[in-house]
Amino acid sequence: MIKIKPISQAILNEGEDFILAFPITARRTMEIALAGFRVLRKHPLVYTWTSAPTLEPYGSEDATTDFNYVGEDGLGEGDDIFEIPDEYPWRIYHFGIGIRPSDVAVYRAYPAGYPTEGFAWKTPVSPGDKRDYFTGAESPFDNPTTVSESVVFYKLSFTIALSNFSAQSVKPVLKFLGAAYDVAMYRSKADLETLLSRNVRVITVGGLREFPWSIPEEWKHYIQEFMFFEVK
Amino acid sequence: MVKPEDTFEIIASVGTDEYDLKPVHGTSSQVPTRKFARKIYAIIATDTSGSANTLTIRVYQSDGSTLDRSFNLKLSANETKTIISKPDAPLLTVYAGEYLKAIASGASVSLVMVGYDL
Repeated sequence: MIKIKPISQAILNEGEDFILAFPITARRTMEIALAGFRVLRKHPLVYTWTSAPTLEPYGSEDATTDFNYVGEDGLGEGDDIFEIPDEYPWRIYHFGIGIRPSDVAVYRAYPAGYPTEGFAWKTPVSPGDKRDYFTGAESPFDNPTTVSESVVFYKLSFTIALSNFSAQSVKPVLKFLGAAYDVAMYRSKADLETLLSRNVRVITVGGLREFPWSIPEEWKHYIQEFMFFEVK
Repeated sequence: MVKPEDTFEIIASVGTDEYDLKPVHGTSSQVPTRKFARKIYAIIATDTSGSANTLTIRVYQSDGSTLDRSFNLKLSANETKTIISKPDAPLLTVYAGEYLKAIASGASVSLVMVGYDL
């Protein structure tokens, strides 16, 4: 049972550790690359995004958008608000997405081209599908929840799609709420094993489905691969 | 609890021709099939004909032509009837796929409804 708790309860404090998990294979064999971090500095991250397109009523062709980046001037328009500049390879965004009104669904794909999914019977998910989305009911505008928990780091592309499930046209407003961390990275496999034994927070980027992830050059020496299970 | 941003109004001037009661900025009087139901919790009707009038609210099945249920609101000349409940105690339920329409015995009745979809 998934716990729907406010994203504010999942945001880390300075001095706390966390692990990012990158699936290598996640089917019969579970092999994951892990990167461990400590939060050195934490900055508030709030963005009220009022540049979403108007979505026509449910059932209309224009009720749903394609995946695109979150731009200052619109979905796929203007500067990407989640692009982390070259001088910040150790900056990580950790946030939830609040949605107004409640009947608008958000689908995520990050990295771009790889929608986050839970159901495994038919992939990939397409915007407008009846699965693998969250609405303002699950993640309200004023109090985004961990259902929408997202992590963006340097060089990771973050895209969303929107779909209107209501009977009237709407211009949704999203609130991205969380924190930006400046982090230090743990450098050895032993460090990561220690973190795992301490049950520090493990965050999967883009879900547990395998995808061709890429990480910043600065991280590559320190990421560690673990094989957890193999089903014969 | 329903949030204010999730409610909508239906505003219509209903005459002797049947009128589709669709949400403001909506394109259809049919409740989306993705929903469970539309709940109406406020109805304000005003006769603007200057004569006694009867407003009939009709709910059609998903084929759009088979009348399933209806009720009348009788109005004296220039009368305003205000029927307001709480969002969690709605007055009228229209299920997914059904259509909400209205017709008046005379021209015309100014109608405002407030509701939400579940």
